[in-house]
Amino acid sequence: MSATGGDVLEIFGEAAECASPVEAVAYLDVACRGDVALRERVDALLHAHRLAGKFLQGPPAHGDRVSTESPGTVIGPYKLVELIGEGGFGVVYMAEQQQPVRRLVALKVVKPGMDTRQVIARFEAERQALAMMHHPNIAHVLDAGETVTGRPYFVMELVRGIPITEYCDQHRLTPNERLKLFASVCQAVQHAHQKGIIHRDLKPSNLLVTLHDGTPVVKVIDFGIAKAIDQRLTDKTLITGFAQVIGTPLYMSPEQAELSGLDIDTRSDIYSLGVLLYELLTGTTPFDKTRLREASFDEMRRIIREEEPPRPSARISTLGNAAATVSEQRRTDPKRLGQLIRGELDWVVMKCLEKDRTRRYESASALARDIEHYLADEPVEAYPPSTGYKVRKFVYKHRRAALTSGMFLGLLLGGGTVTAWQWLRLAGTERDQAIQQVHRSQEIHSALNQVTELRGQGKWAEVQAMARRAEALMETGPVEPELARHVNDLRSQLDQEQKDRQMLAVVEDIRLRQAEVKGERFDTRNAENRYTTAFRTYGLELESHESAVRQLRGSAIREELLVALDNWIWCKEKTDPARAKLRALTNEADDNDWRRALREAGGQGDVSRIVELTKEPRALQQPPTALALVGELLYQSGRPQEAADWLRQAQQRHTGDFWLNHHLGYVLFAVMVPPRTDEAIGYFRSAVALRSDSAGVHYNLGNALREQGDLVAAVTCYRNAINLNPGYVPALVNIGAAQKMKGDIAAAEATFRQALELNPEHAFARGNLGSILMMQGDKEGAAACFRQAIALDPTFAGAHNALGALLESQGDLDGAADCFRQALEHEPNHAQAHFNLGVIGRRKGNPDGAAAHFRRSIECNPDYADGHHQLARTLQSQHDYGAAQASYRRVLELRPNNATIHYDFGILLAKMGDNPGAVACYRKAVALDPKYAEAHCNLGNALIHLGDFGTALESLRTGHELGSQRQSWRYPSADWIEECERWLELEGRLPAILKSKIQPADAAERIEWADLCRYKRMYADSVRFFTEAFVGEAKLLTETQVGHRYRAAGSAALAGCGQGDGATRLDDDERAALRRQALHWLQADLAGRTRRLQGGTPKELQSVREELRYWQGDAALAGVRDPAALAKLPVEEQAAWQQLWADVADVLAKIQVSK
Amino acid sequence: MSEVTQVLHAIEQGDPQAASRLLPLVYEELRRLAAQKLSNEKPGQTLDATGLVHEAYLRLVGPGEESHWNSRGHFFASAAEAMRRILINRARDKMRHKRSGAWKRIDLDQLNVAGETADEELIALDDSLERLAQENPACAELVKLRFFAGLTQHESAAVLGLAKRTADRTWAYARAWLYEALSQDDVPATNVP
Repeated sequence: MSATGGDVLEIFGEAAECASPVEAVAYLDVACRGDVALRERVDALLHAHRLAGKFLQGPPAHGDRVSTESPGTVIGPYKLVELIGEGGFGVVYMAEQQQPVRRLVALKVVKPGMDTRQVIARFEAERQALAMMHHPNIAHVLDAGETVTGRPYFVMELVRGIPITEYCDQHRLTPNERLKLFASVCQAVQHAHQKGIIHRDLKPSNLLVTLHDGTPVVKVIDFGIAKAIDQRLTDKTLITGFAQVIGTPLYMSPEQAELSGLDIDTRSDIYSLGVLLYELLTGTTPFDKTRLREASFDEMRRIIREEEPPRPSARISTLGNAAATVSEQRRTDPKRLGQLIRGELDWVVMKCLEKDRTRRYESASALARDIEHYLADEPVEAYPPSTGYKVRKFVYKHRRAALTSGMFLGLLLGGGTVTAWQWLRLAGTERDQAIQQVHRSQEIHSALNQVTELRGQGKWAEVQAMARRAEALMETGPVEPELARHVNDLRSQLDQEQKDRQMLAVVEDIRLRQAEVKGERFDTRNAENRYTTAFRTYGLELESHESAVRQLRGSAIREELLVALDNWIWCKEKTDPARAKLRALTNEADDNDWRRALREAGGQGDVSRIVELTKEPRALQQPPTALALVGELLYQSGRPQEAADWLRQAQQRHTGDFWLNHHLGYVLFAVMVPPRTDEAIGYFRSAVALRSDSAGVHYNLGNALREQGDLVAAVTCYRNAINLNPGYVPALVNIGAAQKMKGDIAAAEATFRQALELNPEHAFARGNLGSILMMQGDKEGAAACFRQAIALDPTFAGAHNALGALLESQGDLDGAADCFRQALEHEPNHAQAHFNLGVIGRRKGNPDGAAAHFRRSIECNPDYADGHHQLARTLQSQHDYGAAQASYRRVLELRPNNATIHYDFGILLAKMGDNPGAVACYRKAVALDPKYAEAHCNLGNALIHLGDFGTALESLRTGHELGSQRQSWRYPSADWIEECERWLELEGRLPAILKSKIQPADAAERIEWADLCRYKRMYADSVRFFTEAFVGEAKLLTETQVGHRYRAAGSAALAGCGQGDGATRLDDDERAALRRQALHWLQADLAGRTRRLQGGTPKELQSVREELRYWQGDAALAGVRDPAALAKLPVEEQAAWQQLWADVADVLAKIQVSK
Repeated sequence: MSEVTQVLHAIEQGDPQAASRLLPLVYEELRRLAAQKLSNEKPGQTLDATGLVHEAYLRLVGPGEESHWNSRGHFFASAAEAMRRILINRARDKMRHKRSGAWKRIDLDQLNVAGETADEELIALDDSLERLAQENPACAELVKLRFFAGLTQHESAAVLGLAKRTADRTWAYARAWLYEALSQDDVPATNVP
């Protein structure tokens, strides 16, 4: 008779309702009538019934947990000491770190309730960026983690210093000493900028000076954290965030005052540095503190954006009485201070404070360099205000034109006018006409002078208007021929200038639009066509080689045109015959040897030569656009590492260049394997800040942010991309994916359908629509979509993988496995497909295969924590503890703050007999998650093995208290507590026991004493009690499953090897006897197990296997097992032990075979 | 009269097609309510199945229908199945997400809620539940009603038309059965040996 479900239920029900276990057994003896299988099944269920506790009697998930910190709270290894700062979203504590070193640190944690997914994702992204910074002048991020409730925190070096301005005044530093400190701040800021991090809140209270061996060292604190916590100042946050905005308007750049958060880049920090330098020199900020504070919000912003502050030297002269104090603090007097600052230092400061950021220093290091130039008495890069760098450069190129119009300054005073003598001789109308002509000429002169000035300022629209005014004036009557000629010359110069400017704008626009993605690629086709038109419009006839070369050579914008031509060549199809021709022409018009060599190497596809050229010192002197082009050339030639290295250097030189930032981000995120997403985000952000009108870069930033988990920010990026380019399907698809993730299924579905309307053959959109249908329970529809997506793009590994997941959920494991294999065929390094195959392998009971797949998944992505974790668990289930241990260590590197993994690892170590190791793991688990009931319980049980019953009891009680509240709790934690209490009680009686003052009630109690001594590391006593128990009741020895004899052997081996307390009291003979006893017991135990193997059930084989594996790893037996330890024993004893271990291995091998 | 009420009436009248029309309606409403709940909550928030099912009942059937116990029974049976699908889909999706990287550019997954262990356990439970359903469908039904829809033992017994004693036995059996099944490949919370 076989056990059917109905029988089992019936019998189980009756037995479960029996008043006592005895009654139940009696009932079962009758009811099962010798049907062993039925009886076993019912017994198993009754056992489960007793253990089940509140299993299934509550809702299917954990509850929410909320807690707050205060001094005294422990977060990870840190104990909060006192609150040292508080902002809108985060709080900073001084905290004490205990391990591995005792020190005080600063710990910044997101406030409870502020931990929206958005804030957390930003915080995390920023932390990763911060962790990349290593600079002596930047406060290090030491650690980071999550609180129990999942709120992230940073741990930073605790900087005990005073604000830089206060330090300088207190120590009466001279201007030069101040400049040196300031230069070190610039270097620190530069370091951050090179990592794509903008501080945004540079001010003296964030620049603290500490003394290192008597030398002042500036530490920049709060780097980027302002950004992580309050990235964008939208209209909504304006009200609530008002205090924060107001906090530091003194150091805020005009573009920050705009409050259009998107448009802030590294040059905002340059501005703030300028304010700081102003203050270090003059003791005051460019705008008056009181005035800004008292101004209305809009007025404050207007002042920052529009008003020109006085030059520092001019400010000194208006300080009045304060000038004396300020000068005294600088060890000088007002007059000398003014003289010192006037000129170069004025220029340097004012160049930082330019309203138009393109006129500021391009990088913090350029600013530092100028400071160093000044200190070394070399000329500075900065010019007197009003002729910004770029304008000056342009004027230089058009020098002739500029000089010509400049001549009019003198014309009015010189020969161009009528003399007094002539004047007197004129009469009536003639005189009137002459007067009119003079007036006219004067007005024309004045217009021309203004043209000169406006050109100098780069105000092109005004230049044109003024030139037209001069021309219109000429129409009203006669003027001197020379003046007329000047006006006409000016017209043709301006026309050429305008053409050049337009060409530059077009060329730049082409490069910008090129960043847009058509399908999966940059839109080079469009660029190609536009170049043709652009050069034709510009008037460069490329067909006639010689005249084109001549024209190029004569152009004021030759460099830019050459770079554009290079880019054009780059865009052309490799097969286009026009390519070689264009390259020859460009080469001929170019005098730069390096570029010529590069063009040649590019033409021949000689990648190693290109790499060689990039190594030359002069390589990096090229203009940024050329540098960007080389970067592209490198990564498209399959050299991502070289491309990244090159672009990094280039970006360091030109932190403000859009393309360099973008390409660097792109290479790091989309080309390199594995991607360096965290770094890439920084560079993409810089690129977006530099040019916010490229849809492509918004899209890429969005992708990187999404990868980082910041979905909200990612969607904002995609929306920006679509606003710029409404037909941008990939961005639309990704918005849909985000909506889906947020659970807004209807919106997601609409978005995907919209995308498919724009492009019905978009495989990604189709695949995602499939996943929506799958979520709605329409598995058939979903499968159809996945299949269509695969039909559209058979290489679409993600769709194969999704189809596989769908089949897996339907229980079609074979079909699913096929799909995952397909995915791998097209993307052999698809880590997730490998992982999924592993999961299937495990579900199908093939742990070996599963382990292999998990291994592959982590080969594809070495940081794939889930892959490592599942591999570890699989290995553990196969009893391959050594390998499992290695895998756990790797998972813990990747997820050091995951309590579950520490817990799992603890179980493994406990299984390996490493109780101290297990205790450490469980401790970590409960530190990370104080409500982790299982971990508390296991900690307690492991502590019992270490003999620390008091602490064990505490842990068990905590575990039981927490666990029994849970509905799904199914462990006999109450029994464990009872057991532990018993140990504690026995421990109290230990002295009496040892002195034989009391006698045990029976052999079982004696065994307890033996175990107690074992836990207390009194191994010889343990052996004594075990032996007495065995003598008293030989039955105990036959119960191999209970393991008394094995534990006794462990104690004997330990005592025999001189381990434990009181071991020194034993002499050599006594020890040898103990080892013999251990050997004897183990031999007997092994023989018992070998007997169990014959005709044993698979389950029995399994348990013998597990036990013997344990023998092989048991720390208690190390002294009689490990070769190094054995070597210390007498020779004949060595042989006996070696034989035992050979026998163990033999039995294990037999089990393997019979399996 | 709402569409669901109509369907319930049709079931009462013995329309064999009606029952199959009920599940999609209930599922859709519950899924919508669940998504709405989750989108307003902090990460780590759980679904309150009982609350959701009762809210869905009030929205779809209305308070006036309370006396029709049979209608309620059909409704809650559908709701239990719908909740099970929602929770299991969510758990599976989250597990898939954890396996991560499926789509190079586009993610297919939900983010939010609960911990890893809960998801794994839930899926394992559901796997076992399917096997239990093959052996004893009534047991599995009872578990769905109590565990996924959050009904009390009394309500569940009424939905399934079971006498109290039978229901209690069935529940005890189902719990022991599942507990035993889940303990098979369970990581023990105690040490060896």
